Amino acid sequence: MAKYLLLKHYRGGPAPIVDFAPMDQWTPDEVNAHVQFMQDFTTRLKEMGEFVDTQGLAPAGAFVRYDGEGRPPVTDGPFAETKDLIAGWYIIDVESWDRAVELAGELSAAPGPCGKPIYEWLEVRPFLGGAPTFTE
Amino acid sequence: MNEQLLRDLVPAVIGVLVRRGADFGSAEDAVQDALVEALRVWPDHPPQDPKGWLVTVAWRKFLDATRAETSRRRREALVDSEPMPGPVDAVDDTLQLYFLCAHPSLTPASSVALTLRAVGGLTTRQIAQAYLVPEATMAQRISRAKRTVSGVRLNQPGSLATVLRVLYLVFNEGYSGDVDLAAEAIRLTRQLAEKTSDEEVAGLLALMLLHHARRSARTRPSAAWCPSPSRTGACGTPA
Repeated sequence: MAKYLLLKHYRGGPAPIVDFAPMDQWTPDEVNAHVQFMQDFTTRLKEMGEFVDTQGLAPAGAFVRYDGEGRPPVTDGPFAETKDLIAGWYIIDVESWDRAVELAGELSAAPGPCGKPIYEWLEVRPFLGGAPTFTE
Repeated sequence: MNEQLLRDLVPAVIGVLVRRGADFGSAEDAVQDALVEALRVWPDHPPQDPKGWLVTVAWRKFLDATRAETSRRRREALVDSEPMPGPVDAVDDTLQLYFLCAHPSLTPASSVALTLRAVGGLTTRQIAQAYLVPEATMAQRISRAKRTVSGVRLNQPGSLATVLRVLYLVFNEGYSGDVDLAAEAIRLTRQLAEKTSDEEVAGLLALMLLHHARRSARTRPSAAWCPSPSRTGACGTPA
């Protein structure tokens, strides 16, 4: 088994397939359907024994970095563009890279406006130092 | 109570129950119940034959549970058709349990989890910690694995190759959490080696012991990794 981070890029990532409106413009039903989709996804992961963690992230926040000895950290924010926004993540523990991709594909189909899939880009990243996936 | 003795006995007792016709999950539950009973009784009345004692009590627990769960008709048919508990035969049931837990119908990860649970006697929490996943996730993985093999009867030899693969996977995972998986893999492989003369088993055990002997030489006292040229044979520890 190997752990993967599925990073939800929301409206970012490579060129969007569907240019959907930001979530604050969705109807409550559309938001609920989206959240329900992810809860169902989480439940399925748990039942399969593949779930490790998931969190959503608030849109607030900033970039922060060290600025030299004795100086306060430099901050750059808040994020101007929703392109920069990471909406949340899943951590999964799965048998193979192919399985991670398959799950990311499912998650990417979460519904947005009018209940249509938003084709969200998910960044799939193996954990460094994780046990290599077993192959014959 | 001797925990090491119990951990050696448990897989054998589960094996006996499965060979007598109990499905895997029920057998494991029954053995757990028997262990609870042993905790209560043994301190005052230590058994002469701990394995025989556990088999008898576990089988009774299994029958009780089966009676409670199935309809009267089914229960009667089952009790009627099953052989009466007799003396424990000398066939090595632990070996059968290795085969079951490494059954080809399971994925490698499921086999690993089930082997550590059923043969190794680790708790689900310990296995979850070792593999850095939530306990509920590991519990699901184990129960799915149990369901997968629940229909498998231990009436034919299993594949030793799949068992060795699973043991090596456990060893390779090294150690984390509060369980030393490398040591656990060696313990299980050593146990397996005592039950078979297969040279591949001896080879795997030798490989593990060789790696394990050099384990303390891989890091300095500060826990920094040692570059390999500075490792010397003197750093090794006997396994």
